Amino acid sequence: MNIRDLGRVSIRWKLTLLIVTISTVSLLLASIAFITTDRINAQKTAGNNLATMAEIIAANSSAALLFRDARAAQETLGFLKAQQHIQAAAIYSMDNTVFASYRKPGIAIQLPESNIQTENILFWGNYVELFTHINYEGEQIGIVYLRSNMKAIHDRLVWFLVIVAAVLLVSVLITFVLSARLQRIITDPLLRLSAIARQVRTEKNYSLRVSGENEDELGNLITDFNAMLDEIQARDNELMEHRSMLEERVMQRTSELEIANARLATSKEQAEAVARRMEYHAHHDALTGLPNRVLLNDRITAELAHARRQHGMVALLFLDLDRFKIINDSLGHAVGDQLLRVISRRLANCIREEDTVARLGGDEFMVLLPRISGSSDAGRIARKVIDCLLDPVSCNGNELHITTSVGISIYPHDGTDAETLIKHADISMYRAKELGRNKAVYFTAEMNAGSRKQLAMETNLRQAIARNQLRLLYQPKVDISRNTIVGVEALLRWVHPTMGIISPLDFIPVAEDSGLIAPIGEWVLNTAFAQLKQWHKSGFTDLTMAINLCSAQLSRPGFEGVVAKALQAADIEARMAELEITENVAMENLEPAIVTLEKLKRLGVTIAMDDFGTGYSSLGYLRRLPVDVVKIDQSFVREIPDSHEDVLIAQAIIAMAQSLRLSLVVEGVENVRQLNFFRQQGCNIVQGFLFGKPVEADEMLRVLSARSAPGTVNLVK
Amino acid sequence: MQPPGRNTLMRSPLAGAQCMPRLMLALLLLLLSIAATGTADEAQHTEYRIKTAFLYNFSRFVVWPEEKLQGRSEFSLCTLGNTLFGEQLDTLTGKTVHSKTLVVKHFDKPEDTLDCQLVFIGQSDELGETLWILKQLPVLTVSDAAAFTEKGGMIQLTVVDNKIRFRINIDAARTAGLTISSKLLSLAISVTGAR
Repeated sequence: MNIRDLGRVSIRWKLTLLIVTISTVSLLLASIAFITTDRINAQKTAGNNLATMAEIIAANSSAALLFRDARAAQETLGFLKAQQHIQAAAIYSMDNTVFASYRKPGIAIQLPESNIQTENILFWGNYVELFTHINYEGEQIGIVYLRSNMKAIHDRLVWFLVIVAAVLLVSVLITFVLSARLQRIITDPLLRLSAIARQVRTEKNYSLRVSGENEDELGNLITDFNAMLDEIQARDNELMEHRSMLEERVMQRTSELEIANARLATSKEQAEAVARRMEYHAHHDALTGLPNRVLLNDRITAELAHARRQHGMVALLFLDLDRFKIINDSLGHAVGDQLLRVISRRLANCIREEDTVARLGGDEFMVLLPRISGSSDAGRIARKVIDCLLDPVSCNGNELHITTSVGISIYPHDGTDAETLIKHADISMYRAKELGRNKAVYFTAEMNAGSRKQLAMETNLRQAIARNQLRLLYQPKVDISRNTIVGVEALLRWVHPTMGIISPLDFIPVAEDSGLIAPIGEWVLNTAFAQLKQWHKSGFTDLTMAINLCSAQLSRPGFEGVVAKALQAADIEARMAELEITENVAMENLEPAIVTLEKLKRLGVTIAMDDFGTGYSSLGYLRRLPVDVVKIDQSFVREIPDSHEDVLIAQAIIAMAQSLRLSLVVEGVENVRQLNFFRQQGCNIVQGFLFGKPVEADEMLRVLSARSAPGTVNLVK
Repeated sequence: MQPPGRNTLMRSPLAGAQCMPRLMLALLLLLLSIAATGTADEAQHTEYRIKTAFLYNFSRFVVWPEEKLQGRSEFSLCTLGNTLFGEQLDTLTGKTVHSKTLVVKHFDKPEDTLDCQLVFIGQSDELGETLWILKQLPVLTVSDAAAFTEKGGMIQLTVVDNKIRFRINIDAARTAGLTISSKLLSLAISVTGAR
């Protein structure tokens, strides 16, 4: 088993293996040291014994040597018979001849030459040889030779090895048994932890806890783990609570909506679906599924037309991926195509629902931002788009970092037709590349002109308040079931001495950007409420006043205080005031808007959703906004009942408002056919030229007086 | 002159040649006698070289009474009368025995040897008288004369199986105050005298 395989072995076995290995190795080392020492000692002892024996022989044979008595010398060797380990012995005289010799019976050994002058002990593989001088009175008279086998030492070694092996085996077994128990001290808590963690993962049961009373690091781990589970469980519970609450609400609303939807499902629509699909392919890019240049041009044209009518703004973002060509060339078209698809998906997810992202071809994309409230919106969205593409993209194992250069052109500042706007967006995109890529750049020359214009307007606007150039016009809101004017909507106009009447759509963004919105807003509130008070005094006590709010007002902290103060100043009951917001105003800063609207609602004022259907028509958001009234935008009303589509939309909005128990106001009712349609739908509160254009306060009073007089003309035929 | 040990040590070349024809015999006799003379001389030389070593070694295995050696600087190894050592004994001169310097001396009269520590007694008719003179003196008496120990000599050299051996009369030594090492005793062919 190699070390890598050990990785798969459980920690329990690893610990056991570790302990057993360490103990075995240490025991082995100790045994080797012991045996080696013992062998050295045994050899020394054997050598000493042999030397002693040789000395005895030398002492006993000296006389025999001196007197050349070989027989006597032979006798001195006689005692060696009792020494089993002596294989041979010899006495040499000084003339190097064997004087006497002994060989153990049954062993054939050649006696060595005795020309060895030195005393010596030689350890060979399995025998020892010893040469000792025989001296008499300091004079060497001969040499004793002894040869002994190493059997005793070998036997001893074998015996030790057997003992060591036995001890090793026993100790490994004991170590194994002990470590198998001891390792549990560490592994048991770990295994418990692991088992619970796995159970939590598989069962998603966060109420599980690991038991354990260790006070070491493992104990801390378990405590921390449990604490983590506590936290997760608490969050999980909270989440579940929230979710079930939400689900309950959604279920309720869904069922209500289903009723409404049932009315919408017509067979005609199903037939149209096929045609629509065919049309889809003609208008979408095959690779990414995004709208293609054809569809984009259509949409731009449509949005420009809409913006022209509404005096709105439209922005075009021209996107070009930085260095895409390098990726395409080095990694191949397949990777390039995959990258384009990923980028397309991200772009589509990144932008608002009403925006259009189209692929122009290659790595060029165009984002159409209709109905923006200021050029800063376009920059913000451009920045967001750039950020959306910043995360690296994995394509076939490559981590691709994509940056984008964006050029921005804005209608009406940078052009009034699609072609010019696209051209200018393209030019500014190239400027972004020049400035170092990964940037968004406004169309420069036009932008300068734009800001000059804004500056001029800002100066004028300041003077407008002082010079009393702001006017409020009032448009009646009629309850057609009772044929009475139930309220008026205050509409702000700027009457410029030379430029004429300027729409709030043009100057409110400037006011918002410059901070002039606060005084203007307060002026509107005070003026409108003061006017309402006058009308109340004139006897029209049930009349309500609707006032439009802009997003800067909504996001202003303490705005509800401003409203309360204005109500108080004019001595108007809060329920008589209706504050209108457009969807886009609410969406622009949703969270603070919700907070402010809720505070306003607590004051008692009514909150109305203006231009409903034109913005980010998400029911989810609508639910979150504390709205009492929905106003159907006049753009849907205009072609009713001729446009089947508009009829369907209007019906859907009406059904929805009924489901959500919201009051409904129809705006822009201009003819009787429209009026009859909405009457049939059960919509009673209407507003529009049919009932009166926005008029000055004096004129309004006349209208009111005429209305309230008996025998007035019934406008409904 | 034929030494007594000659016949025992070496068989005469003439012994097995009696049945040979006269002329041949005479010729052979002449040749062999020349050869035998050379061989005999060499054998004799070897024998006495060994005996020289024996004499020296005897002195080392015998302990003289300490008072008798005290004050002396020399250890006298003497020969009495005619011996066949020739010059060989002189090789021992200068050796050390019992911390004394060994000197070799030759005497003809027994009374001259009283001061010796070891006397090798040659062939002599006056053996009995000599031994009587030296008796009770700390003088180790050695000889290769036959029945030397029986006559009161201490160590008698003899030849057995072509090897030089010795007999010891331990009583004689003891009477003279000499102690003979047991090692020496164990090598003797016989040790006579009461133990």
